[in-house]
Amino acid sequence: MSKVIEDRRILRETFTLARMIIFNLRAFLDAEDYKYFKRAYKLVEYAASKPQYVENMYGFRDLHNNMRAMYELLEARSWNPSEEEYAKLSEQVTYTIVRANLIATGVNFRLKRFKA
Amino acid sequence: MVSGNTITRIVSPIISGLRHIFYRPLTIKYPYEKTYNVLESNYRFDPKEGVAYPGYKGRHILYLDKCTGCGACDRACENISEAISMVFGYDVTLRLDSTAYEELKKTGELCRAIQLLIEPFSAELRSFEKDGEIYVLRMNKEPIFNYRCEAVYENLIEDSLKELSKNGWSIELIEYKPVENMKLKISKDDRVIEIGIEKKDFGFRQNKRSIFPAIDYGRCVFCGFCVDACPFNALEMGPSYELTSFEREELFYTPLMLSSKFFETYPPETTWSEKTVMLLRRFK
Repeated sequence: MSKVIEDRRILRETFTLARMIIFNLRAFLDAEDYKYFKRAYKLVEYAASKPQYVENMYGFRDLHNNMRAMYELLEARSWNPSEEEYAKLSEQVTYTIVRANLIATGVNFRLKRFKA
Repeated sequence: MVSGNTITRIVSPIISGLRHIFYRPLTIKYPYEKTYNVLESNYRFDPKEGVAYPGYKGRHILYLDKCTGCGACDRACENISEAISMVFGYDVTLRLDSTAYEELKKTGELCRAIQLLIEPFSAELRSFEKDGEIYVLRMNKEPIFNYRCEAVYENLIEDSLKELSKNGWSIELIEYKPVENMKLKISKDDRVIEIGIEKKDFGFRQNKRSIFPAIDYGRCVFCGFCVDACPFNALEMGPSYELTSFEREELFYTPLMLSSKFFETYPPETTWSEKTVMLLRRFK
């Protein structure tokens, strides 16, 4: 297949990945279940390990740092944070969703305005 | 003993109600009757005069015979809501040679492969047409509007091809021109299927590339900047504001949908007397 189709495939995969991160973080806020948070963290780590995804996600470093900070905090508290810490965590997750949404919208617009 | 005051209290609302029967109603029977801000006037902009004619900013009307495909509306929308995209019309065709067509009549592997390919489209297996030695099946009834042929391939064909390649079919790109057309050869043993995506020429002299705006009403904010930006008076906004849908995809209006006129009709349950009243109210 041609280079254009291959590039578009990578962009579409990046878009799907960003949407899956958003979906899992939203599910975490709705259900307050840490399994969704762990899934989102795994997806971010997976994206970070693939340079072809990272180079298409503008603002990914911020997303990665946020997710890592939250994950480390939760691990330090053995996945049982205090009320206050949980409130701050929810706020940070909301910010992370916004960041991931910006990334996904950027990738979507790149797909739409893709020049051959 | 009933006092005179009590009787007045009972009778006066009845009299008031009876009096209102003969008043002209202030309300209308929506959705069967509608009010328009400016009757039969669309929001439009005359670039020569530099004047905007007021009108209700509802659904757009696209005049295909005036649109040159310059993309000014798209650029005007770009930093507002990103609702407009310039799209081409595509036709997807499936080609078989005569031996493959004969094999298609026996329900076999080839038949299953073609059924898989035509599943996302509106075509039927019976509708093959003979074109010389080759049999052609046009997969879509109306042109498929998208911003490039690769997107048509990704949305409608790629999944079927993945399934076919799992079943041992080999796929080869034999012709490709970015944005405009692509042709794929799908083969297994001596059986060959050709599938092509081709840009459709609508035959408008002023728009030789056949590129038109399509509007996603899930994003549109009805600002009217696209109408102001059009240098050829090809876009207007009409009084139609009922654009609801159960599916988000249905809010994507293709150029053909945008070019269709609005029409109103009475719902089937209205009686002749109600129709007469509705008609008379228009001339009040």
